[in-house]
Amino acid sequence: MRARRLPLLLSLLLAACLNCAAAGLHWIRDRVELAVDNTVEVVHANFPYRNDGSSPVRVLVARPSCDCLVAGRSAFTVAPGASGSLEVSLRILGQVGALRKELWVATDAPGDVPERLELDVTVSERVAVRPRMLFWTRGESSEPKLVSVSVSPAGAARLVGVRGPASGFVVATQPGKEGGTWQLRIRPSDTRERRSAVATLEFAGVDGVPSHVDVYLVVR
Amino acid sequence: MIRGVIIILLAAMLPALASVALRWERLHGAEAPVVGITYREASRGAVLWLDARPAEDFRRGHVAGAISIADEGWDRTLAVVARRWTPGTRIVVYCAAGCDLAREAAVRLRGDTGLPDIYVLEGGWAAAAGEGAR
Amino acid sequence: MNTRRWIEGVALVTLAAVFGVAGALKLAGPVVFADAIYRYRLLPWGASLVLAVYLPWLELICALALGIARLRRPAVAVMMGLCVLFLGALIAAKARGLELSCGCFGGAASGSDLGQAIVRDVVVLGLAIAYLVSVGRHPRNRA
Repeated sequence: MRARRLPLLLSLLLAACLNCAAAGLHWIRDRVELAVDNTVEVVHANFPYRNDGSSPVRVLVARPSCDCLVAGRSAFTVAPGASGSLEVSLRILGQVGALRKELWVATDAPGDVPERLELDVTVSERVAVRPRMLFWTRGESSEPKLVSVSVSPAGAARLVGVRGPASGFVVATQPGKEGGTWQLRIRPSDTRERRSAVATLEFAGVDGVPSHVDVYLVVR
Repeated sequence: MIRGVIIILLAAMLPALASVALRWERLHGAEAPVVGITYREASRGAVLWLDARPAEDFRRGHVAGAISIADEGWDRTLAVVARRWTPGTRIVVYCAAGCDLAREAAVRLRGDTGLPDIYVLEGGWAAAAGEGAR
Repeated sequence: MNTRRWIEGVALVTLAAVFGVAGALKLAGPVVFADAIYRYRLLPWGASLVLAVYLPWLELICALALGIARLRRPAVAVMMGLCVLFLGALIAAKARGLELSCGCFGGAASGSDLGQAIVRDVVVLGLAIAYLVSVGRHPRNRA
């Protein structure tokens, strides 16, 4: 009876070995999820891999369709048994909410199909200051313009003060109707001459909240 | 004839007003799109160029006088815009070609500054380079 | 005389079809249509939105008014006015070298280039003028 089972066992062993040889590159993680604040401009993520095969594997990284996503390497070789990770960086330009970006990678292993790596980033907006620039044209009436400030969640931070502008502009701050909101009324003392200044809003709060945000004031 | 024209013009107003009332939230919240501009038209007047591409691409070649958003960072980009903008200046943002990054940067810039005349370059850097912009 | 009436009939049916379809397609997406108007860079965003809500209804009402004898000539006159308006915008866009879809049938519907849109508009304007001139020379009843 043992003799009859032997060919079967040998076949299974051979098949397993063949699979091992063909296994090639294995992406330990093909999806990375991150949560960041929108003050972060660049997010880094790592996609670890391992070559489970018996021969070196050449990895090719397709150029992402979005200029915002950059892979650390465009092509590299992984020795048998070696492992590593592919670093990608994503530039965030003010988007808030869920962002999903994809990166396609392929190898030179026979029969291998391209693999999709996914980066899911949830961007929250802790501190919103809008607008960040106020402008008046020369000769225009020096009416005050509004800057809205909000912190989310309301208790995460508070606006403790406004530093500057050095001269030529008047700033009045008042709390908003809802918790965690403020309104700044800013006006130039006059608009006869070109001038510019910076009003720095200072916040005190928990980790991750920026300590200051600049608002640019311009008379042109 | 005139009376008939007035009747038609007024008759169209009724369903239009009803449509506004029914869709008020959506219409009120709708934001103007960022409009594209060709390199040729942009170059005719005063223009402030913003490059939204990765820093390495900027260093390989860019529109003369452009600011690299990747190099400067958003805060410094705003500071440069505040320093260099004058009334009548167009701000044109570009990326490689056919990508979303320039549009996202333009939308954010509009929200942060309220400046009029913010555009996205049609065809991106590929189009500008083709027109001899270096 | 029969030929003239036949031609007037064809002009009316064509105008009704063109304006009816154009109006109906734009009704579904006022923001998309406002987008298309705004890209001509002739009007601010607020005015583009107002026009995007009003114009489709005007086109539809004109198309329907063609079915009412007393309102036929005024409807064609309004259509003529709209054609002149659209033609002006298209020519201005072409002269400035803008690259955009005409928005004639809603923002996303048309992939035609501006040149084709101008030709189409001139044909429709011609039909409207021809109808008004024909009816003006041979009034059937007082409007």
